[in-house]
Amino acid sequence: MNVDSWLKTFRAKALLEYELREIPGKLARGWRFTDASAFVPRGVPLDRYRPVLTAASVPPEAELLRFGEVSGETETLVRSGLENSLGPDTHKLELLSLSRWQDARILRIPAGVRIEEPVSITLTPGDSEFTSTRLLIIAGEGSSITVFNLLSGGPPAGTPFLVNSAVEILAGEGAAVRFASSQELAEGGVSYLSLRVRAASDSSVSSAIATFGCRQAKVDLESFLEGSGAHSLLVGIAVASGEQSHDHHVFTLHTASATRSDCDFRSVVGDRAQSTVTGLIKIRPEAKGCEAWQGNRNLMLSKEAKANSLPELEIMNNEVKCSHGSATGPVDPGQVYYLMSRGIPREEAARLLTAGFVQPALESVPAPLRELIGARLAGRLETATAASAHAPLDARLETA
Amino acid sequence: MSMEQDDRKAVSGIGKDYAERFGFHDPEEYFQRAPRGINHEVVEMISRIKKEPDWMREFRHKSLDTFFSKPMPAWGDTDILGKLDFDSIYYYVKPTEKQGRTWEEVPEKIRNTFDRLGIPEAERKFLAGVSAQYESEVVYHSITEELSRKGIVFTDMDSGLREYGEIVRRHFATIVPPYDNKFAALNSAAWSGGSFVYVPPGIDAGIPLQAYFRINTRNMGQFERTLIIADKGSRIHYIEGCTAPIYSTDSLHAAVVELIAMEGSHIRYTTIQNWSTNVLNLVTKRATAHRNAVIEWVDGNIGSKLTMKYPCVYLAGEGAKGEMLSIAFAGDGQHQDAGAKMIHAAPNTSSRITSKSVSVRGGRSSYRGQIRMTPAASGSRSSVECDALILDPGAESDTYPAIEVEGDTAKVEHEARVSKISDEQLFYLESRGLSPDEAKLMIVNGFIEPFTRELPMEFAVELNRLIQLEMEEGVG
Repeated sequence: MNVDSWLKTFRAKALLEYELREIPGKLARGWRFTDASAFVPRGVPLDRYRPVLTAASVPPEAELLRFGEVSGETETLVRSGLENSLGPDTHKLELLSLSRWQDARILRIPAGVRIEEPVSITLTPGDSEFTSTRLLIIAGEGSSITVFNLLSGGPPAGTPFLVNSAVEILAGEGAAVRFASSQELAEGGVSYLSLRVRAASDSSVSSAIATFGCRQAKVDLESFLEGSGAHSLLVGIAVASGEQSHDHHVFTLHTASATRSDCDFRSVVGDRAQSTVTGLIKIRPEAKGCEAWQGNRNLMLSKEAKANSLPELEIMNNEVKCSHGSATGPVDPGQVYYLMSRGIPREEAARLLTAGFVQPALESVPAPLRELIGARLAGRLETATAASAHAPLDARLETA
Repeated sequence: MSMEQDDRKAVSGIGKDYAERFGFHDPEEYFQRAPRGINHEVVEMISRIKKEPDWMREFRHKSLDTFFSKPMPAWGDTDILGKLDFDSIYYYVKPTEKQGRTWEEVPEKIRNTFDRLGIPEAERKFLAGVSAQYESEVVYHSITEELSRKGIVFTDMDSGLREYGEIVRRHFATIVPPYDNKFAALNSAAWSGGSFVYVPPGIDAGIPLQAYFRINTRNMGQFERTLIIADKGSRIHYIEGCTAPIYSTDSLHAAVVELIAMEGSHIRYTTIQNWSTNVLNLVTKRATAHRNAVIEWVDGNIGSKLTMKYPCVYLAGEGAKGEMLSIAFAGDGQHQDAGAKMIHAAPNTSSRITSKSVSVRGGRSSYRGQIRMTPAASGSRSSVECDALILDPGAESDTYPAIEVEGDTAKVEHEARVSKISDEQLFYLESRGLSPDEAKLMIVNGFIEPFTRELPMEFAVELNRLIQLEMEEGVG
C-alpha cells in the first residue's frame, strides 16, 4: 500500500476511535483542574490540508517532509510510530490530532549529522477557528539538532479559536536534541499542546516549554526514557495574567536502566490567573540505577491568583535516587524593601525579583534557545508585573 | 441549623414500622440469627439494642441511604476496594460472641509476636480477641479517678451518647458528616464503640489517655466512632491502638474520628495501627482547630492488608496550627496508602507534615496528601516532607501530593525523596563490626526516629522491637 492510501485508512480508523472515545473526566490523570471538553471542537472538523507552518529555516543536511512524502526507512518509522500511538489508552485529544491534522511535517536529521544553527519552525493558525498540526522530529543515531518551535498569532481579538498541536521527538541512539517551544497565541485562544519524547540509549533530549498566550492552555509533556543511559531535561516557564488558565502535565517514564530525568518548572501567576502543574515520575522495576528529579515553583503576584501543584512519584524498584520539590509563595517583601532602599522603584524591584525567580530555569536552557526564550519572556514579564495589582504589595511592605 | 432540621424531618419516618413489618421485637433475638450484610433492618436493630434516642436512630438510617448512594472511591487501591463484598460482613457483633475464640485458634505468627514484644498475659488475650474485655480495673482504677476529679469525661461512645446526649448531639458528625465518603457513611449507619472525651476549659489532662483505661468496655471494633472535644485552653493527649498486632477475623474496619479543638486548646492524637494483614482499614479522621488551637496527629501504620487514611486538620481560626507526623511500614502483600490534609481557612495559620515510609518484600506504601490555602488564609505557612525507603527490588513507593494555593501571601513548601539504604552507610556500619542485618535495622530505626521520639517510652520500645521483627522476616 502506498503511503497516501495507508495514511487515509489509518486516519479513518483514528476518526472512528475519536468519535467513540469519552472526553477525559476530572479523575483522569492531569485533568483534575481543567475541563477537557473546552479542547474538543464542536462537531468533527473537515479533514483538509491547510498550511499552518508559515516559516521554516531548514539547513540542507536535514529534511522537512509532509507525512505523505516519506519513503524507505523513514516511512517504516512513521508508520510504526503512528500505529503504536493508536491504542485503547490513546486519549481523545490525541485521537483528534491523529485523525484531523491539517498540517503535519517530519523533520529528519540523518545519522551522524550535526547541525549547530537552530532550525526554526513557525506555526500560525491564521483566522481559522480550528487548527491542528503535528511535527515529528526524527534524530538519527549520533545526530545533533537544535529546534525552535514558535506558535503565534490567531484571529483578531474577541474571536474564539482552538489549536491542537502535537510534537513528537524520536531521539536515536546517542543523539542530542535541543528543543524549545514558545506558545504566544492570541488571547482569545484555547490550545492543547503535547510533546512526546522517546529517548533511545545514551541519547539526550533537552526541551524548554514556554507558555505565554491563550485564554486557556493545556500542555501535556511526556518523556519516555527507553534506552539505557538516556537523559531528558525539561524546563518549563509559564507566565499567566489576566484571566488566563495554564495547566501543564509532566509525565516521565523510566523503563531502562541508568536513565536520568530532570524537570524544572516555574510559573508566574498574576491577576485572576490560574496555573496548574501536575507531574508524575514513574520508574519501572526493570529500570535500575535511575535518577529522577522534578521541581515546581510558583510565584504569586496577586490576591486572586491561584496555583495548583501536584508532583507525584511511583517508584517500583529500590536502585533509584528520586526526589521532587514544590514551593509556592509571593515575592519576598523583604527583598522588595531592600531593592527600594537602594533607590530602585517598587515596580522595577518587583519586576527584577520576578525575573530572578525564572532565571535559574532559563539558565538550564541550551545557549541559542536560551536567548530566544529569554527575549520573549522579558516582554511577557513586563506586562504581567505591570498588570498585577500593587495594593497588596504595599500592604505587605508595611508589615515587612 | 434549619437545613439540618429539614433533614431530620425528612427522615423522621424512616424505620418506624419495622417491628410491624418484620415482626422482630427483640433485637437480642434478631442478632442471634447473625444476619450478614447491611440494610435498614440491621441499622434499626443496632439502634434498638443500644436503646438510642430517636435523633441517632434517624441519623443512622439517613446515613445508610447515603452509604447506598455513594460510589466506591475511584482512587487509591481500587483493585482491593473492588473486591470488597459489603454483603459478607457482620455489622453488629454482640460483645459476648467475641469470647468464642480460643487461644489455640490465634495464628502462631501473632502469638510469637506477643512473646517477642513481652505483652502481659491479660493484654494478649484481649488483643487476640480471646477475651472480649481487657480486665484493666485494678491497674487503671486510680488513673480514671484522677481524670474524673479534673472533670474530664472519658468514656466509650455508647455511654457518652446515653450520659452526655446534649453535648454529643451538638458535635456528633459536624466534623465528618456521613456524606463525606462511602466509608464515613457506613460508619455513621453502623457505628459501635470508640471513645467520647470532653476536657473542660483550662484543664490539662496531664497523662495520655488510652482506650485501655476504660473499664469493661469494648474499645476496638469494626466501626469505631470517636469524638474528642477540648474546651478553651485545655490540653489532651489521646492514644489509640497499640504496637502489638491486633488479631481480627473481621475483614473491614471503617472508623470515624472527630476532634474539636476550641480556642487555645491542644490535642495530640496518637495512633499505632497494627491490624492483622487480612484487614482493610479505611478510616476517616478529621479535626477542626479554632483560634490559636493546636492539633497534632501522630500516626503509625504497620499492620493491615490495605490502609487508606488521611487525617485532616481544618484550620478554622486565626493562628491555629496543625501537625502530622507519620510512619508507614509496608511488607509482604501490604499497601499502606496514608497521608494527611491541611486546609487553611484563617489568617496566619501554620501546618507541617512529616511522612516517613518503608517498603519491603513487595510491600507498597503511598503518601497521599493535600495542602489548601484558601483566600482567607493570608500569611499562612505550610511545609511538607516525605521520605521513603525502599529496601528491596520488589517493593514500591508512591507519592501523591496536591498543593492548592490562592492569593499572594501564603507559602507552601513540599519535598519528597525516595531511595534505598545507601551503600556507604551500610559499609560504614559493617566496618564497625555490625552484621548487614543489624546495620539495616539500625538505619531503619534511625530513619523513623523523628516518629518514635514523639511516642511515650513504652510505645517507642515496642515499636522498635516490632520493626526489628518485620525486618527479620525480610531477611528470612
